[in-house]
Amino acid sequence: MSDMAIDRRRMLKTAMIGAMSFKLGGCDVTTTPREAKSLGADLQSLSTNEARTLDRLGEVLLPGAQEAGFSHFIDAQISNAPGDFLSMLRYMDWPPPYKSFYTDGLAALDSLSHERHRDSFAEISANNATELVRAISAGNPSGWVDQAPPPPLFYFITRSDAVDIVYGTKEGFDRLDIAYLGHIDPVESW
Amino acid sequence: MSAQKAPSETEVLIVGAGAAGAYMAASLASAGKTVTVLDAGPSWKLEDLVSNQIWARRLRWGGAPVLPGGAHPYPFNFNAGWGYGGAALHHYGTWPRMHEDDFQMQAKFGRGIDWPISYQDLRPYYDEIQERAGVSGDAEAEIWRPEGAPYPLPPVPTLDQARILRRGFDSVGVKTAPAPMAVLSRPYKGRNACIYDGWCDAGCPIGALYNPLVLDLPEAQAAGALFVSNAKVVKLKSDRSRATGAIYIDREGVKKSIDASIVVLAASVVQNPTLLLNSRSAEFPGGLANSHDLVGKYFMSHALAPVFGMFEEETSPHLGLSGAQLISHDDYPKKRENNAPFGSYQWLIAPSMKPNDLLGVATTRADLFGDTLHDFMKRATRHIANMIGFAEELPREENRIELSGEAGANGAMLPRVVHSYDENTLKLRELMRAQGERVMAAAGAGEVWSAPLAQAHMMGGTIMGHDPATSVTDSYGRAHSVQNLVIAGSGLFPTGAAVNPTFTLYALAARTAAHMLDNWADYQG
Repeated sequence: MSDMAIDRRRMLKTAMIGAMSFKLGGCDVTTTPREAKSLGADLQSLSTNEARTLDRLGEVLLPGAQEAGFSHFIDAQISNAPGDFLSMLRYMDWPPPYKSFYTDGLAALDSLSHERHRDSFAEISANNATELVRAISAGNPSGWVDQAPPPPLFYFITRSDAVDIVYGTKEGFDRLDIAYLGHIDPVESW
Repeated sequence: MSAQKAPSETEVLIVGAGAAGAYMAASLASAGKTVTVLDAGPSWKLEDLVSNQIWARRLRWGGAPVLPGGAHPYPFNFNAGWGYGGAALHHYGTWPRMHEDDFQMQAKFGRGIDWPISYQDLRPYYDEIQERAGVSGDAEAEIWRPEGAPYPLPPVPTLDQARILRRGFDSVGVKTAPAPMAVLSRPYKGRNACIYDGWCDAGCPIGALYNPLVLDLPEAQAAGALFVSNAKVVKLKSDRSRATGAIYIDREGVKKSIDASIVVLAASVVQNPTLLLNSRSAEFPGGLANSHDLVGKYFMSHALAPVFGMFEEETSPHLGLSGAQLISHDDYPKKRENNAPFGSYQWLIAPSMKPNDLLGVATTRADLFGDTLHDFMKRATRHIANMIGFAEELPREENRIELSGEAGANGAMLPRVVHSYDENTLKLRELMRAQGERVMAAAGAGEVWSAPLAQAHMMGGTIMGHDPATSVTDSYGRAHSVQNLVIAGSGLFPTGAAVNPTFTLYALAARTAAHMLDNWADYQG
């Protein structure tokens, strides 16, 4: 690679955009989902129970998602205006508002968990959680709430969100041992 | 860029600041015309093009919903853009030319709809645009390429992933060539060359990949064209026979009006007919330019067959270009023996892949999750290779953009894209997919698999032709029934071919702009 190219990349790295915004103690803070999670930032759109279910789902889909700030990432996205919504759901021509896609899907997952295992999704065993995720990935399991998003789509999107937060960041590239090589790097780790 | 406000009147109103709109703004403003461009989205700048697949989603459509319909709903949001640059801001710059036969499908094969022009009519504009944009390629190696000027730049390099896949094509006797890319393989006219870091999908902030923010928009602005962002046009105004301007909602949500002598609709394949159909009046009860009920009809897309392989060798799939390093049109001829499906297809070989996103590594095995997905990611992000087949879809009237009957936030009716592939297209796609898997295995992949049917590239909906009874516009995009209304973009394509449409879209826009300037008084009506 030429020196000129490297200089150009370094130069462009100076141009950056704002990181994600979270609420901490009622104040707006700009940080990463991982830090927001570790700092206990307030949720803006999800309930505590929904975030707990989502984090469990993230861990089943891709271990490490919870620690990477999965629920705070989704919470921040669904709190944005549709034009600033950055989950891969944006590609799926699913009509906004996007919040209900997640909250309805989580409610359906929890309901299925109660029906099959008499407990919430966040509390069932690892094997049972994996079995439920496998069921929603493959089709429309009996007991899935009709009004909720189609289960394979809910699986596909939340799995993609988990991949985003674990591997779609500079940290994630490092974990995979591949060079990030950004022209313009995102602020912080993603 | 500060928030611009539109005047109450302008000589030329262009709706949409994407590839066609920005190019025409530059051409017309440079000739001294007073031009105003309204775009529904943000005023993107090159420095907004952050190298990250999550942030890159901001560039995709974020306006009023486009509702899906049909057996194969078209993925509009992924393929469309909004704001300055439009979809071309995140397009991959793969610029093959259409073939001569693509223009004469009905005359030669009794299929599809003929273009009102031939390849030879468009050739000088292909040549002009490739010189302006800076296209890299090897014209001689593209043995299927129709006549035309050689590329101004040498081809992009063949990196590990492409080198491995070329081995497979060679083994099965299918010819490949360096992909013709609107990406600079060398510094060109003051612009920097590509560094092949594979981030094209997120937009190219250094301008090595041609997009409307590189030349067209700055040229247009320097010549006095006014671009207004977050201006959502909801209806075109008209009198008895002319378009007279537009009604739009500005960034503050206030309804505004602008008058114009000439209106250019360059708001995308879906939004152009949506606006026309929403522009009903006493004189145009079925919508503007819709006297024969053809607006929105003959929507087309390419049926894709992404094929993947896992190799022992390192493929470095994160490097290169999002579009392709190599291309094959070896099976482009329309007719095949033994009743095999009709139509053309092309292979785009070795697009770069990042770990996440719709075209990323993780999505290739959407069935995997948990620790199995971690294991796959660690292996695949270094050893996967991919290529994508693009199959032609012939125009059919029932594939259409229509008003859904559901009003959006601005009061205008939301569009629905009704789209289904016919049996021939699905068979053609399957033929292509099977060939792709053979190539991948011949290249030495230990595991070979394909993605489900996917789609890309919008065409049709406001098709051009000679006859007002069977087409919406003439060959310059001028509406048959509204003399001062010009439609631009790939919506004009009567038959879609099997190549990426952006190069042809630009060539058509160049031809239209030249004709308008030579016949200005006639266009004013």
